Amino acid sequence: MGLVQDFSLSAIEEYFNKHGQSIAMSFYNASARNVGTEIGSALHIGGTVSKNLGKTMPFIGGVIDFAGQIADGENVVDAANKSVLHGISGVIVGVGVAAILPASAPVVATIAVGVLVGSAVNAGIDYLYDNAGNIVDSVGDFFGSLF
Amino acid sequence: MKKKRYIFIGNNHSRTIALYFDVLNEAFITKKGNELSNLSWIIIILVAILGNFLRPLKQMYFSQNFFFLLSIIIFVGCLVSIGMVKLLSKGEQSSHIEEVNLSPDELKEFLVQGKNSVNAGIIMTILIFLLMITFPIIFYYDRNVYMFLITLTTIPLFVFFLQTTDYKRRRRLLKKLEERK
Repeated sequence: MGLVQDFSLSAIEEYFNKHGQSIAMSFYNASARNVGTEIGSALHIGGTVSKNLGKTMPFIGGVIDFAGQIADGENVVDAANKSVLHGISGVIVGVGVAAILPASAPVVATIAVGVLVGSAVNAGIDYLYDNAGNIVDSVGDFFGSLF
Repeated sequence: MKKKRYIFIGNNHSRTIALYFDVLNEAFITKKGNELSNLSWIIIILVAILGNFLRPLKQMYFSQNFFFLLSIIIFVGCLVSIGMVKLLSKGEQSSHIEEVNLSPDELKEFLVQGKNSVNAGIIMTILIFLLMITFPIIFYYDRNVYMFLITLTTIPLFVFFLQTTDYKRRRRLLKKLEERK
């Protein structure tokens, strides 16, 4: 154990001796660009956040979904799995609804239809996820009783 | 039932224009579209928020007979569907239309998108139909208010997609237009 520790510590030391300066420089450059004392830096950060807000939107939905399930007493792993499944179904429903409905349909109606379909699909996914074992058992029992 | 005057052909690639066929005047007409680039993300967020609001309903149970509740679901579902069909036909009449002449290339773009739209419509209608059949079975075992509302929702949704996809008429029209092209 001691040998492994000594070796890894000396390897880390060696690595930082070699690359320490370049790592420090890149940190300095990044912080100078983003967190300077000038107002320009603050504007830069604001601009970057607003530019990337669209990219974070799916995560916001996932986080709301995940947090709601945890608050409801759901297991962390199950909540994470269900949130991912809900995300995937949301993307598919969104693409499907956009493809089916005429572009001239009112925005509110398009979103309402998407939300209703999404809720129904998610209810089905949750039920399947929670009762997959029971469903397989009952189907097995049913076919077993036939033969 | 009144015959539909405008048959939806498809949207253009960027989803900014919807092309219809006027059966009465045998002409193409366009309606301006509303671009929705983040529809999937909006749906994910709103479904998550709605799910959080409706979650307490999963703990509220009905004590009534299942068949009584199912008949209420069917009755209300059919009423909502009838109202929705009327609203859809009213919306069709009131929106702003513009007659256009299309080049073969432009028409081809709409036809390709239209075909995809019909196929997606069929898949969605089948999915909702399966949910409409499955949810009453789930509701039988899990008689909570949330499941009641979700089961009720599937009936108008099924009618809506059946109406919007308009499979028979659109398929026939797309075939006819492709032959004419």
